[in-house]
Amino acid sequence: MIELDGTAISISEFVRLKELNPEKIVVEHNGEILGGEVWENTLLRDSDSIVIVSFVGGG
Amino acid sequence: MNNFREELLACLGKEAFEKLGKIKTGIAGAGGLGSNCAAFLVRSGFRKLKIYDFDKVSYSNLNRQFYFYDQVGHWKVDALRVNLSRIDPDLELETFNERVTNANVSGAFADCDIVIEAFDRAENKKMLTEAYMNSGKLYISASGIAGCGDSDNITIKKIHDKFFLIGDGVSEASAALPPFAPRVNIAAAKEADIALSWALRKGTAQHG
Repeated sequence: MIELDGTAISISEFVRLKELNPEKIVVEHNGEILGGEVWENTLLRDSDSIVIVSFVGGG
Repeated sequence: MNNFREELLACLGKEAFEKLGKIKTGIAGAGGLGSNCAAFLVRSGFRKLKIYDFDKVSYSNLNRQFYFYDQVGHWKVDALRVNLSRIDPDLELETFNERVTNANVSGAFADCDIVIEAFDRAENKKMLTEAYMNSGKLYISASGIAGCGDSDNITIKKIHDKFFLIGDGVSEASAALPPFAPRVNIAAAKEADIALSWALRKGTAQHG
């Protein structure tokens, strides 16, 4: 389990810790794309796989 | 069959030529990435493209996009249709002069085998990626292509078997770091090359 001061952290907290912009990232958690509305209530656990793709503008 | 296709057939062989003719590729955005990627795909033998863009050609686009001085003011999808048809006059092109939004994103490319993300804004890249990165289609996106120099840092990251991300990940377009033709074309060419190599190998055991 990913822990911060003994507490498992949510995806929202993880995103804040990494200083990522929620509007410009895609989060895949255990193979499933998670919309921002569920990040707060989704806790990260040790065996989880998380893929975060971050975008910058230009094209 | 037109003369260009005769040459493509001779170059590719019958099997590859026919594969490329069956694959429908969706292109989201017809700016620097999308317009150039579309041209690379057509030159390579792709014949079915579905393209979305809501914008008009402007003079500021001519430093990198596949449009010409006399097309300024034209809708990009219309100008691109003209330009691609000058390479292969018999393409099956579906062009949509509209925005891809949360309301239509899942249907926009539902009938495509390949989806290429070629938007400008990061928020739109996110929207399309959420819709297509796990769709079972080949999905190719780009992030970090502005500026000039260090073009070897425009890399290809394989996120999944069918999700590739092109770019350096950090070079965001801005007034201080404008996009230029060379790096934008490198990224567009890499997007097209991934699509081409996947399409030509499609159906074999190792690439599925």
